[in-house]
Amino acid sequence: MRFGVVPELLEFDRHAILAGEIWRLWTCHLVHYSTRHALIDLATAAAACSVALPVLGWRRLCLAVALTAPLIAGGLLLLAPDLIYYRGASGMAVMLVVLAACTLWRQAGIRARTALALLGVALAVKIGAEALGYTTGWSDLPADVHVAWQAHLLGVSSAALTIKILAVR
Amino acid sequence: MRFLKTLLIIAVAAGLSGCVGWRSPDGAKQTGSLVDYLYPNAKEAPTLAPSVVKLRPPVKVGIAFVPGANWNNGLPEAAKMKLLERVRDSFAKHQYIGKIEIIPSQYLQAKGGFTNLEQVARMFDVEVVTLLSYDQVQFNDTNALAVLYWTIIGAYVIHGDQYDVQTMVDAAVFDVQSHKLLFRAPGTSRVKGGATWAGLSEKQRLAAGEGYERAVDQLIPQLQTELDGFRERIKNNANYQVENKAGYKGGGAMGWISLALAVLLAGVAYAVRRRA
Repeated sequence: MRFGVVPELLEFDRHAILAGEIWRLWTCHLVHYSTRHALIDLATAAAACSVALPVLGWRRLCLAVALTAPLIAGGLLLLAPDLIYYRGASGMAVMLVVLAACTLWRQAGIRARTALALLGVALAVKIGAEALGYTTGWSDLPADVHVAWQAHLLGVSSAALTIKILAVR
Repeated sequence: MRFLKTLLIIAVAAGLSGCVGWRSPDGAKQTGSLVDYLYPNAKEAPTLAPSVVKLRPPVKVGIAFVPGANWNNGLPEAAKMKLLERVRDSFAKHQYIGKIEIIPSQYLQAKGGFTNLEQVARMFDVEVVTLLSYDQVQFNDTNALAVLYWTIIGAYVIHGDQYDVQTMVDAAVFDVQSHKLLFRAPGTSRVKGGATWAGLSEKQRLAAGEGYERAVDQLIPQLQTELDGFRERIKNNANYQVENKAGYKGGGAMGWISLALAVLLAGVAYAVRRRA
C-alpha cells in the first residue's frame, strides 16, 4: 500500500461513513490537505490546550477531544449534505479554543474578560465571514478545497456541550 | 441401371458440394460509428464555436455504446452492459468523478446526433458522456484440410476452417454542454483460431465476444493514461475552466487569523495566571 493512500482511508468521506467506516468520524481531524494546513491547525490546538490543561487536566482534556471529534464529524453529515470529503483539525481547534476561554473566564478580571469577549467576537465574525464565502487571503487550503465553516460552528457548540458534561468550573 | 447409378452419384456429389456452398465465405462486420451517431448526414465538417468548457468536479459521467448500423449489429445488450461495468468500475475510484451512469443502448437513437445525446444526458443527469464506438471484422478462410469435409464426418472433426476476428473499440469523452471532445482512447484486439465446419459459427461468436473483451482490456489503461494527460493539459489551457461544485470538498482550516487569536488567548491566560 502506498503511503499516500492512508489519508484517503482516514478522511471524512460521506459515502464511506454511511457505508459503515465510522472510524473516519475521529480520524478525519487528523489528516490534512497540506503540511501548512496541518501545522496551523495543530499550532492553534496546541496553544488552546496549553491554556485549558492546567484547569482540566490530561484526563478530562483527552475525554473532551475523544467525545467531540465524532460530534463535529457527525454534525457535518447532518448540517453540510453537499460536503463529500473533509480533512482538518480546525473544528477540534475551535472547540479547544472556546473550552480554554471558558476555563479562563472564571479566573479573569474585568480587563481579561473584555479581551476574551473581543476574541469571542473576532471568532464569531470569522466564522460568519467564512459562511458568507469571504475566505480569500486567509485560508491555507488548496485552491479546490473550500473552508467548511460548519466544522467551526460545530466546534463552538461542542465546546458548550463539553463544558456542561465535564462540569467545568 | 448404369444410368441410375450415375444419376445417384451426381445427386450425392451435388448435395455435398451444396452443403459446402451454404457456408458464409467471407465473414461479417459489426460497426457502431461515432461519426454516424453524432454527425448524421453531415456533408461538411462540423464547426464548433470557440467556448470555454466548464468542468465541475465531481463530474457526473454517462457511459454508453453508440448505436449500431443495423438492428442486430454488435454485441448483445447484456454483454455490452458487462463491458461498460468494467470500464465504470475502473474509473469509480477517482474523487473528481462523482458518479458513472451506464446508459443502455436503447436510449440512444441511431443517427440521433447531439440532440439525442443532450436528451439522454438530461434524463440520466450527467454532464460528460463517454461514447464507445466499435468496429469488428470477422474473416473466414478454409485451409487444405477442408477437403476432408467431403467425408461428412470430417465436417465435424477436422479443423478445416480458420477465423480471424479483428476488433477496435474507441472511447470518446464528450462534454455535453459544449459538444467538445475532451479526450479519446482506443483499444484493439485480434483473435484467431480454427474450427470444424459444424462448429464454426459458435466459435466465431465466442471469438467475437472475446475480441470485445480484449479490446476493452487494452482500452481501460489507455483511457486512464489519456485521463491523466487531460487533467494535466487543462491546468494551463484557457479553454478549460475547472470549478468545484459548491461545498463538495471541505477543509477545516483555521488560517493565520485563528492562530493569532489562539496566541492572544494564550497571552491573556499568561497574564491572568501571573496576577493570580
